Amino acid sequence: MEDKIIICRCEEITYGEIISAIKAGCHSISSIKKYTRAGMGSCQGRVCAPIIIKILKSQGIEAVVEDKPNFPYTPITIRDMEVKDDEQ
Amino acid sequence: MMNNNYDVIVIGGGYFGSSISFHLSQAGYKTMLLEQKELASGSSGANYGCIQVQDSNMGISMERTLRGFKGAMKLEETLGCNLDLKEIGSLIVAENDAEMNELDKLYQEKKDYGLPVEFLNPQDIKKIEPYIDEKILKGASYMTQGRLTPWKLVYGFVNKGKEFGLEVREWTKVVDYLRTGDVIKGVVLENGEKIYSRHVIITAGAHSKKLGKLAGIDIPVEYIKGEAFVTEAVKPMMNNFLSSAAFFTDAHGDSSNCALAMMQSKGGNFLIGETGSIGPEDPDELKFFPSKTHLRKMAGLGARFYPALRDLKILRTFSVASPYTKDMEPIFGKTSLEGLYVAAGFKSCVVITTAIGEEMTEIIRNQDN
Repeated sequence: MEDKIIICRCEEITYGEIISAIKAGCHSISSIKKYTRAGMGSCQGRVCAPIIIKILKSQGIEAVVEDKPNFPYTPITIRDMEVKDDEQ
Repeated sequence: MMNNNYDVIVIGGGYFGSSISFHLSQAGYKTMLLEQKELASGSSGANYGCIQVQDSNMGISMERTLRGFKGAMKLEETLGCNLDLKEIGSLIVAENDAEMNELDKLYQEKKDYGLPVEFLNPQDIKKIEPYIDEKILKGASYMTQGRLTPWKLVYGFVNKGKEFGLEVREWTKVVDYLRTGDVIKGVVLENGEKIYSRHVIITAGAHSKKLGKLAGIDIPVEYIKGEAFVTEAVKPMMNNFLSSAAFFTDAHGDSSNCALAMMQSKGGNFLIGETGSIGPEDPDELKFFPSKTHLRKMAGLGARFYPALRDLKILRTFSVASPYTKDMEPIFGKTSLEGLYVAAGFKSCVVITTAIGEEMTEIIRNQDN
């Protein structure tokens, strides 16, 4: 695969960057995320995580620790989250 | 057969474990760093990376902080890697009279000590933070400090340490110690494997108490649940690290407390968080999700300080076991057992990582002589 192919669309992280992270010792979705920002964008890895798992496996890392899904399941605004005055 | 013999075993791959491991390896000690999950997977990977000086306790903590600050601001050079290290201001803001009272004490104490702190009135705050709602503020204590990206620091220490022979094992849990009477001689892993060493250092943050119990000693490091959320990335809107003086009026322990801290990361995401609720006794059982009540309070607080943030989307929320001690002083140094040491329960972290790494190396060196 070409190094410049984008794997994480939200943060525009390439295949080459993912491979560098794996070579630096990142063997999980969470550590690759921290190292490269892949999965930190608005889809929170819902698009790139399955691809990164495949890349990890292609590099001989079989027991991939997956990232935990976390609230919110889809981005919501601060306005929607904050406690309104009439609720108190 | 693998040679399972080391000079030092360090348990816990966060800020202090990685710094101590790096400093020991650099000093020529054959060192093994053990982490029960991944490097920086606990509170060291879930904070602002703020190189905070002005909230330090006085006394030895302040000496360490100032020594550490110099070391911290040179870390990219020391470790030969990018840490997103940057000079950034720290604002501790007061919203009411009770907070002003505490803030004033904090400010005076630091000013008298000779720190370059400044007191800002609401109009001054607005000048350096154009998006803030200065009408809700009474004042702030301000100081130029620094920040970096937390996990990059942990990786930085570890990768540099490896150049000096540091060995690291992730997903490796310590379940017991090897000992002869009151002398600790190594550790036993979950799979039964034994690793021998002359020194074992516990640097496991909120998990340190449990690791102390395994050895039959009390390490009084407690933890509170730190909760936070991250927004989508936007253009630079915030120039300083902001924390609320409410931290000092009722810090730690009161579960109704919601003292805000916030910062915009290098990537442009806002990290908005607070500490205040008690978690389960075993930090391993802490749920990753923040409570709904606190999350909604935090969102409200963030939006009150920066009304323009209301339209930003929240991408992710998380909670973390944030260690502390009752008197806000760390548990650091030798224990009652020969060969067992602790470095945990520090109040501000990034700023003193290098100071603690150097001091622990000195302690080990003196012990060996």
